[in-house]
Amino acid sequence: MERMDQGGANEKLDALFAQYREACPDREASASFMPRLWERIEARRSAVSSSWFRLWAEVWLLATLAVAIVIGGVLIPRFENPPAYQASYVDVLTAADSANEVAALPIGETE
Amino acid sequence: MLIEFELIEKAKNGDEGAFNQVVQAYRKRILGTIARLIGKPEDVEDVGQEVFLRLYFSLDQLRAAEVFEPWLYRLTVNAAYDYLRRQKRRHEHRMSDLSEQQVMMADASAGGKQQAEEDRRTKVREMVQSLLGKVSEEDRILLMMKEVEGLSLKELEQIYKVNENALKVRLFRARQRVLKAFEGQD
Repeated sequence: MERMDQGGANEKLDALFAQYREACPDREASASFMPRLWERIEARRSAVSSSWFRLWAEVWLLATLAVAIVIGGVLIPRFENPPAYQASYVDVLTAADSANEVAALPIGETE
Repeated sequence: MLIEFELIEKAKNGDEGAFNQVVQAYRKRILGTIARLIGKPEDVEDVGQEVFLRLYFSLDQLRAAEVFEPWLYRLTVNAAYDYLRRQKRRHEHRMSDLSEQQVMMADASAGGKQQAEEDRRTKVREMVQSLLGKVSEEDRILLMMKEVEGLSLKELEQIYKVNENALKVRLFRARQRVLKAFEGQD
Protein backbone atom coordinates (compact mmCIF):
# COMPACT_ATOMS: atom_id res chain seq x y z
CA MET A 1 0.00 0.00 0.00
CA GLU A 2 2.80 2.33 1.03
CA ARG A 3 4.72 1.30 -2.08
CA MET A 4 1.67 2.20 -4.17
CA ASP A 5 1.43 5.56 -2.40
CA GLN A 6 5.06 6.21 -3.16
CA GLY A 7 4.45 5.22 -6.75
CA GLY A 8 1.70 7.82 -6.90
CA ALA A 9 3.93 10.43 -5.29
CA ASN A 10 6.68 9.56 -7.77
CA GLU A 11 4.32 10.19 -10.66
CA LYS A 12 3.17 13.45 -9.12
CA LEU A 13 6.77 14.53 -8.65
CA ASP A 14 7.54 13.70 -12.29
CA ALA A 15 4.54 15.77 -13.31
CA LEU A 16 5.72 18.65 -11.13
CA PHE A 17 9.16 18.55 -12.75
CA ALA A 18 7.51 18.60 -16.18
CA GLN A 19 5.42 21.62 -15.14
CA TYR A 20 8.55 23.30 -13.85
CA ARG A 21 10.27 22.72 -17.20
CA GLU A 22 7.30 24.34 -18.91
CA ALA A 23 7.15 27.20 -16.37
CA CYS A 24 10.83 28.04 -17.03
CA PRO A 25 11.19 27.87 -20.82
CA ASP A 26 14.45 28.57 -22.66
CA ARG A 27 14.89 32.32 -22.83
CA GLU A 28 16.33 34.82 -25.23
CA ALA A 29 19.27 36.89 -24.06
CA SER A 30 18.90 40.64 -23.70
CA ALA A 31 20.52 43.01 -26.22
CA SER A 32 23.33 43.76 -23.78
CA PHE A 33 24.34 40.11 -23.39
CA MET A 34 27.05 39.99 -26.08
CA PRO A 35 28.57 43.45 -25.40
CA ARG A 36 28.73 42.65 -21.66
CA LEU A 37 30.29 39.27 -22.41
CA TRP A 38 33.02 40.85 -24.54
CA GLU A 39 33.64 43.50 -21.86
CA ARG A 40 34.21 40.72 -19.35
CA ILE A 41 36.47 38.84 -21.75
CA GLU A 42 38.56 41.98 -22.36
CA ALA A 43 38.74 42.73 -18.63
CA ARG A 44 39.92 39.17 -17.89
CA ARG A 45 42.38 39.28 -20.78
CA SER A 46 44.00 42.53 -19.57
CA ALA A 47 44.08 41.20 -16.00
CA VAL A 48 45.86 38.08 -17.25
CA SER A 49 48.37 40.04 -19.34
CA SER A 50 49.09 42.54 -16.53
CA SER A 51 49.69 39.67 -14.13
CA TRP A 52 52.13 38.17 -16.67
CA PHE A 53 53.85 41.53 -16.94
CA ARG A 54 54.06 41.74 -13.13
CA LEU A 55 55.48 38.23 -12.98
CA TRP A 56 58.13 39.07 -15.58
CA ALA A 57 59.03 42.29 -13.75
CA GLU A 58 59.42 40.36 -10.50
CA VAL A 59 61.57 37.72 -12.18
CA TRP A 60 63.82 40.40 -13.70
CA LEU A 61 64.09 42.26 -10.39
CA LEU A 62 65.08 39.09 -8.55
CA ALA A 63 67.61 38.19 -11.24
CA THR A 64 69.14 41.69 -11.05
CA LEU A 65 69.40 41.45 -7.25
CA ALA A 66 71.02 38.03 -7.49
CA VAL A 67 73.58 39.29 -10.02
CA ALA A 68 74.32 42.35 -7.83
CA ILE A 69 74.89 40.11 -4.79
CA VAL A 70 77.23 37.83 -6.74
CA ILE A 71 79.21 40.77 -8.11
CA GLY A 72 79.33 42.61 -4.78
CA GLY A 73 80.01 39.67 -2.50
CA VAL A 74 82.14 37.29 -4.55
CA LEU A 75 83.62 38.78 -7.68
CA ILE A 76 84.73 42.24 -6.44
CA PRO A 77 86.83 40.96 -3.47
CA ARG A 78 88.39 38.30 -5.71
CA PHE A 79 89.57 40.75 -8.39
CA GLU A 80 90.47 43.53 -6.01
CA ASN A 81 94.30 44.41 -6.27
CA PRO A 82 96.27 43.51 -3.12
CA PRO A 83 97.58 46.65 -1.33
CA ALA A 84 101.11 47.65 -2.46
CA TYR A 85 102.32 48.20 1.08
CA GLN A 86 101.10 46.39 4.16
CA ALA A 87 103.10 48.59 6.56
CA SER A 88 103.57 52.33 6.99
CA TYR A 89 106.49 54.27 5.48
CA VAL A 90 108.27 54.48 8.87
CA ASP A 91 107.94 50.72 9.40
CA VAL A 92 109.45 50.07 5.98
CA LEU A 93 112.40 52.39 6.68
CA THR A 94 113.02 50.74 10.07
CA ALA A 95 112.91 47.30 8.54
CA ALA A 96 115.34 48.32 5.77
CA ASP A 97 117.69 49.94 8.31
CA SER A 98 117.84 46.86 10.56
CA ALA A 99 118.56 44.69 7.52
CA ASN A 100 121.49 46.97 6.61
CA GLU A 101 122.85 46.71 10.16
CA VAL A 102 122.81 42.92 10.09
CA ALA A 103 124.60 42.96 6.74
CA ALA A 104 127.30 45.36 8.05
CA LEU A 105 128.31 43.10 10.97
CA PRO A 106 131.40 40.97 10.18
CA ILE A 107 130.94 37.23 10.34
CA GLY A 108 131.87 35.68 13.67
CA GLU A 109 132.08 39.09 15.39
CA THR A 110 130.05 39.41 18.52
CA GLU A 111 129.47 42.29 20.83
CA MET B 1 24.85 19.46 -32.10
CA LEU B 2 23.58 22.93 -32.90
CA ILE B 3 26.70 23.86 -34.86
CA GLU B 4 29.32 22.38 -37.16
CA PHE B 5 32.52 20.97 -35.66
CA GLU B 6 34.45 23.25 -38.01
CA LEU B 7 33.04 26.33 -36.27
CA ILE B 8 34.23 25.04 -32.90
CA GLU B 9 37.69 24.39 -34.35
CA LYS B 10 37.77 27.96 -35.71
CA ALA B 11 36.71 29.38 -32.33
CA LYS B 12 39.33 27.19 -30.68
CA ASN B 13 41.97 28.70 -32.96
CA GLY B 14 41.07 32.21 -31.81
CA ASP B 15 38.52 33.25 -34.45
CA GLU B 16 36.34 35.72 -32.52
CA GLY B 17 33.61 35.73 -35.16
CA ALA B 18 33.32 31.95 -34.85
CA PHE B 19 33.21 32.25 -31.06
CA ASN B 20 30.34 34.77 -31.38
CA GLN B 21 28.45 32.31 -33.56
CA VAL B 22 28.98 29.51 -31.03
CA VAL B 23 27.64 31.73 -28.23
CA GLN B 24 24.66 32.79 -30.31
CA ALA B 25 23.80 29.18 -31.15
CA TYR B 26 23.90 27.96 -27.55
CA ARG B 27 23.01 30.92 -25.36
CA LYS B 28 19.22 30.40 -25.43
CA ARG B 29 19.54 26.78 -24.33
CA ILE B 30 22.22 27.55 -21.74
CA LEU B 31 20.30 30.49 -20.28
CA GLY B 32 17.21 28.27 -20.00
CA THR B 33 19.17 25.57 -18.21
CA ILE B 34 20.71 28.12 -15.84
CA ALA B 35 17.29 29.64 -15.11
CA ARG B 36 15.96 26.23 -14.11
CA LEU B 37 19.06 25.39 -12.08
CA ILE B 38 19.38 28.56 -10.05
CA GLY B 39 15.77 29.77 -9.88
CA LYS B 40 16.71 33.47 -9.91
CA PRO B 41 15.77 35.02 -13.27
CA GLU B 42 17.56 38.31 -12.59
CA ASP B 43 20.93 36.54 -12.22
CA VAL B 44 20.60 34.20 -15.20
CA GLU B 45 22.43 36.42 -17.71
CA ASP B 46 25.27 37.05 -15.30
CA VAL B 47 25.81 33.32 -14.75
CA GLY B 48 25.37 32.73 -18.49
CA GLN B 49 28.12 35.23 -19.28
CA GLU B 50 30.33 33.51 -16.74
CA VAL B 51 29.77 30.20 -18.59
CA PHE B 52 30.78 31.67 -21.96
CA LEU B 53 33.67 33.57 -20.39
CA ARG B 54 35.00 30.28 -18.99
CA LEU B 55 34.38 28.70 -22.38
CA TYR B 56 36.43 31.41 -24.12
CA PHE B 57 39.43 30.92 -21.83
CA SER B 58 39.28 27.13 -21.77
CA LEU B 59 38.43 26.36 -25.38
CA ASP B 60 42.07 25.59 -26.16
CA GLN B 61 41.89 22.69 -23.68
CA LEU B 62 39.01 21.04 -25.53
CA ARG B 63 40.33 17.72 -26.88
CA ALA B 64 37.88 17.25 -29.73
CA ALA B 65 34.96 19.20 -31.14
CA GLU B 66 32.78 16.08 -30.67
CA VAL B 67 32.81 16.48 -26.89
CA PHE B 68 31.92 20.17 -27.05
CA GLU B 69 28.36 19.85 -25.69
CA PRO B 70 29.22 17.83 -22.55
CA TRP B 71 32.09 20.28 -22.05
CA LEU B 72 29.74 23.27 -22.27
CA TYR B 73 27.25 21.58 -19.91
CA ARG B 74 30.07 20.90 -17.49
CA LEU B 75 30.97 24.60 -17.49
CA THR B 76 27.27 25.43 -16.99
CA VAL B 77 26.93 23.02 -14.08
CA ASN B 78 30.09 24.39 -12.46
CA ALA B 79 29.04 28.04 -12.87
CA ALA B 80 25.56 27.30 -11.48
CA TYR B 81 27.10 25.41 -8.57
CA ASP B 82 29.48 28.30 -7.79
CA TYR B 83 26.55 30.71 -7.92
CA LEU B 84 24.43 28.59 -5.56
CA ARG B 85 27.30 28.26 -3.11
CA ARG B 86 27.85 32.05 -3.14
CA GLN B 87 24.14 32.57 -2.54
CA LYS B 88 24.19 30.12 0.36
CA ARG B 89 27.11 32.01 1.88
CA ARG B 90 25.14 35.24 1.67
CA HIS B 91 22.28 33.54 3.54
CA GLU B 92 19.76 34.55 1.01
CA HIS B 93 16.35 32.97 1.30
CA ARG B 94 15.85 32.35 -2.36
CA MET B 95 12.65 30.38 -1.86
CA SER B 96 10.73 32.86 0.24
CA ASP B 97 10.78 36.08 -1.77
CA LEU B 98 9.70 36.74 -5.31
CA SER B 99 12.52 37.80 -7.58
CA GLU B 100 12.47 41.22 -9.25
CA GLN B 101 11.78 39.77 -12.66
CA GLN B 102 8.96 37.60 -11.38
CA VAL B 103 7.36 40.67 -9.85
CA MET B 104 7.86 42.60 -13.10
CA MET B 105 6.41 39.73 -15.11
CA ALA B 106 3.45 39.52 -12.78
CA ASP B 107 2.89 43.28 -13.10
CA ALA B 108 3.24 43.22 -16.84
CA SER B 109 0.79 40.41 -17.43
CA ALA B 110 -2.56 42.11 -17.59
CA GLY B 111 -5.88 40.34 -17.64
CA GLY B 112 -7.35 37.68 -15.38
CA LYS B 113 -6.59 34.52 -17.38
CA GLN B 114 -3.03 35.51 -18.19
CA GLN B 115 -2.52 36.54 -14.58
CA ALA B 116 -3.89 33.23 -13.35
CA GLU B 117 -1.53 31.33 -15.67
CA GLU B 118 1.46 33.37 -14.49
CA ASP B 119 0.42 32.80 -10.86
CA ARG B 120 0.30 29.06 -11.50
CA ARG B 121 3.77 29.10 -13.05
CA THR B 122 5.14 31.17 -10.19
CA LYS B 123 3.64 28.70 -7.72
CA VAL B 124 5.22 25.76 -9.57
CA ARG B 125 8.62 27.50 -9.65
CA GLU B 126 8.45 28.31 -5.96
CA MET B 127 7.35 24.81 -5.05
CA VAL B 128 10.16 23.13 -7.00
CA GLN B 129 12.74 25.57 -5.66
CA SER B 130 11.50 24.92 -2.13
CA LEU B 131 11.74 21.13 -2.63
CA LEU B 132 15.24 21.43 -4.09
CA GLY B 133 16.24 23.39 -1.01
CA LYS B 134 16.09 20.05 0.86
CA VAL B 135 19.17 18.68 -0.92
CA SER B 136 22.72 19.93 -1.33
CA GLU B 137 23.71 22.22 -4.22
CA GLU B 138 25.50 19.32 -5.95
CA ASP B 139 22.49 17.01 -5.73
CA ARG B 140 20.10 19.79 -6.67
CA ILE B 141 21.98 20.40 -9.92
CA LEU B 142 22.38 16.70 -10.67
CA LEU B 143 18.68 16.08 -10.11
CA MET B 144 17.71 19.04 -12.28
CA MET B 145 19.99 17.90 -15.10
CA LYS B 146 18.37 14.46 -15.04
CA GLU B 147 14.74 15.18 -14.24
CA VAL B 148 14.16 18.58 -15.81
CA GLU B 149 16.83 18.92 -18.50
CA GLY B 150 16.23 15.29 -19.46
CA LEU B 151 19.88 14.28 -19.80
CA SER B 152 20.62 10.56 -19.91
CA LEU B 153 22.92 8.80 -17.46
CA LYS B 154 25.47 8.42 -20.26
CA GLU B 155 25.43 12.18 -20.86
CA LEU B 156 25.68 12.87 -17.13
CA GLU B 157 28.61 10.48 -16.95
CA GLN B 158 30.41 12.54 -19.60
CA ILE B 159 29.65 15.80 -17.78
CA TYR B 160 30.50 14.68 -14.26
CA LYS B 161 33.24 12.21 -15.21
CA VAL B 162 31.84 9.84 -12.59
CA ASN B 163 30.73 6.26 -13.33
CA GLU B 164 27.09 5.51 -13.99
CA ASN B 165 26.51 3.48 -10.82
CA ALA B 166 27.77 6.24 -8.54
CA LEU B 167 25.48 8.67 -10.35
CA LYS B 168 22.50 6.33 -10.01
CA VAL B 169 23.03 6.01 -6.25
CA ARG B 170 23.40 9.75 -5.84
CA LEU B 171 20.34 10.48 -7.97
CA PHE B 172 18.26 7.91 -6.11
CA ARG B 173 19.14 9.36 -2.70
CA ALA B 174 18.52 12.94 -3.83
CA ARG B 175 15.20 12.00 -5.38
CA GLN B 176 14.11 10.14 -2.25
CA ARG B 177 14.87 13.20 -0.15
CA VAL B 178 12.92 15.46 -2.47
CA LEU B 179 10.08 12.92 -2.64
CA LYS B 180 9.86 12.81 1.15
CA ALA B 181 9.63 16.61 1.28
CA PHE B 182 7.05 16.53 -1.51
CA GLU B 183 4.88 14.01 0.35
CA GLY B 184 5.16 16.16 3.45
CA GLN B 185 3.85 19.16 1.50
CA ASP B 186 1.08 17.22 -0.23
